[in-house]
Amino acid sequence: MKVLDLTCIVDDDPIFVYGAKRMMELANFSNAFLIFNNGHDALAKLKSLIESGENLPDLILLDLNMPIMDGWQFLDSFTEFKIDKEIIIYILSSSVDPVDHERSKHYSIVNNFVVKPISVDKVTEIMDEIISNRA
Amino acid sequence: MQETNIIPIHKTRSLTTFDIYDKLLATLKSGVWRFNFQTQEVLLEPSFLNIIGYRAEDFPTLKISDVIHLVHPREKAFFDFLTPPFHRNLMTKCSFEFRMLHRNGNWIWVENHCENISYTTENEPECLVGFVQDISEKKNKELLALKYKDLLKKTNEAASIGTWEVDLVNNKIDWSEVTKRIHEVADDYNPTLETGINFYKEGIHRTQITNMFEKCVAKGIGFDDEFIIVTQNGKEKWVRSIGVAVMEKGICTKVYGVFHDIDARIRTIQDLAITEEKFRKTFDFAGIGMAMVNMNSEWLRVNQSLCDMLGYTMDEFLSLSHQDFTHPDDLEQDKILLTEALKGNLDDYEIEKRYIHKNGTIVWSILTVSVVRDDTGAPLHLLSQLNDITDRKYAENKVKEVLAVAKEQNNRLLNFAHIVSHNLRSHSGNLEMLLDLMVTDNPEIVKEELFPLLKEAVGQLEETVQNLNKVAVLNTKTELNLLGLNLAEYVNNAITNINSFILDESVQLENKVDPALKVLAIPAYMDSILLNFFTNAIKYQSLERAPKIEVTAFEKDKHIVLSIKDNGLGIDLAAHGSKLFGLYKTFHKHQDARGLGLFITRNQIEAMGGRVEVKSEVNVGTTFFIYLRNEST
Repeated sequence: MKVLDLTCIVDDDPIFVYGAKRMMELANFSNAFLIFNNGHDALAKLKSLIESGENLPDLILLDLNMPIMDGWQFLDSFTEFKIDKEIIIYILSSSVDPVDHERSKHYSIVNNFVVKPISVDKVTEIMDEIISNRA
Repeated sequence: MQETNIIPIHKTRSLTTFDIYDKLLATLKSGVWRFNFQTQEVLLEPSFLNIIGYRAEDFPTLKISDVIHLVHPREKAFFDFLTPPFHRNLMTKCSFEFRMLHRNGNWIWVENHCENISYTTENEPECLVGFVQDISEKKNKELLALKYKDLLKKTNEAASIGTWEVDLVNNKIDWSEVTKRIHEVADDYNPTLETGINFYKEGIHRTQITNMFEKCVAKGIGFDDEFIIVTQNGKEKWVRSIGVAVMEKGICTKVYGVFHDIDARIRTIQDLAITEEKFRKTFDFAGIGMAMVNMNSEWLRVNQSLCDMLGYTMDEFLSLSHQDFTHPDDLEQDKILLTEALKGNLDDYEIEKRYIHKNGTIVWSILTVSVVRDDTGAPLHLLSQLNDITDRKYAENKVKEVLAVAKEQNNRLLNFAHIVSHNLRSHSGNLEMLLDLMVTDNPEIVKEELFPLLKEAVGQLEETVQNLNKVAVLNTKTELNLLGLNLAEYVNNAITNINSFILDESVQLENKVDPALKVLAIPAYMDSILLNFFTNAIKYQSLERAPKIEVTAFEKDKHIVLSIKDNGLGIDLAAHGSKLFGLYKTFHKHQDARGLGLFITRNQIEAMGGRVEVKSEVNVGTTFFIYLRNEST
């Protein structure tokens, strides 16, 4: 049994997406993945899922710097959505700028801020955190 | 009996005698009076009464006290001898002057001569006859003369006008008090013709007075001129000397004149002339443009600099008005202020305004206008000063351009920092991640020769990117929030954080910071700075002695100076001092030496308004002095 049913990764870097997906698979993290290259695509798909009442992801791993619609813009729009399901959001970024970290705290829907690169250990940590929050 | 003698005479005298007698007395303005000592009766004859404005029928009294009542209080005592007790040795004759009250209320001066003409058998005075004459006219003239003399003396003193007289017949010289005072000589000073002349300043002044005086004596021609004298005390003074000759039968017997101290006046005039000359020179030759404008906005005077500044000749300039030169956009503000100044509501104003040069170019200037007033405060004219600041203005614009370029470059640097912060990290992060996955997929790969090298290279790339990132973040922070931090506490925290490291190396680390000291700093920076200095001190320890680090702090001016002293390897400051805090400078041949630490540390300290100084001796130790802002100042 995997920890999560559906994990959504919003990131424009295919290498990172590949690596992250591989590591999560290794860690038995999630049954399925939804991958988007920018905030706009992610938002559009999530919106249609909500409207059709289909299964929504349990977790969104969100990059900040992306073309078309960046992570912040995504968060601003996503906050407006009315969703019954509780979705966990993790920011996953290379940014070590304290300004970004500070800014992320202003969004109550953001659970945590993880600095790239990701490793098997970090994936395990995120998993443990989600489990302990559920309990 | 002598009784009969005191019977009023006119009752017994014949009419003709009476008439002549009285007429004569009236002409002489004189009168007769009689007095009986024994009966104390007095008789004033009509001639007497006439002097004081009475007729016989208006003046019925025979009582001496009533008559004395009319005598001026000052002179009443003269008549004491008339009343008993009589003096033994009463003189038979006496004369004195006294004042009596005329019927019209004026005081009349009379001269009195009286004589005892009979005595009683007891040898007491019996009868007295007196003769008075009206001397008011003479007396008043006398008093007036006295008054004038006094007045003249006072006036002379006040005006510093003295008099002098040279008596050529008796060869006598006389100086008035004021004349002596002007010469600054004692009151008992006796001048001679020669010493008097010698007071005049040698040269033209003395020559001139000598010539004038000689001409005066020889031809009787008076003089009136201004000279410099040198007083007894050696002070030079301007005087006006006037001389008049007294000629007798064609020969000059006397020269007299006045001597007037006009020093203050002359000096004031001279000072004024000098001031005016100075002003004129300043005005004409000033490097800045100057103009005098009357209250109708017309030029009174302009200087060459002003004409040059705007490229006109003086004549051209004077034919144009202030408005003609002014840049159209600047007309309004100047007009408002000028109107106020012309009205007299404003004493001066200074504005930056543009003028148009004859060749059409813009001349930037600072215009200062001040109102010149007379001693009653009424505005006389305006004085304008124009300072050409065109060059400065261009330089200012140049600076603005340079600033814009710098800003642009700074923005590019920010972008660069952003690239470092994000993109470069993404790539190095990905490399690390991929390496991890390679190991997961193929655990055997770690045994390959190249893998550990690749792993290390990626690790170093990651570290470098992280360090660069710190620098980038540091330099792009514009707003910093400084907090009051307890320095001793932060030092303790830093010691705790590196404790494991210290235990390994058996380092002695002493915190001697006064717990009362508080610095203004950013908590994260403070942690990073302390950790950096402590780890450095441990890293570069001497292998010959146990490492010992001593942390102290003291207040200096507006700072708190944190001193971190170690007994480590020391730094050859002569050789490495200049690059000690530079980017990527490494001077110890130590395995961990990176050199970036001090660079970041210094930047963090400076960003918080502090600075860092170092003192070091090779093989003895190093002391870093970190200046931090004191919370209490």
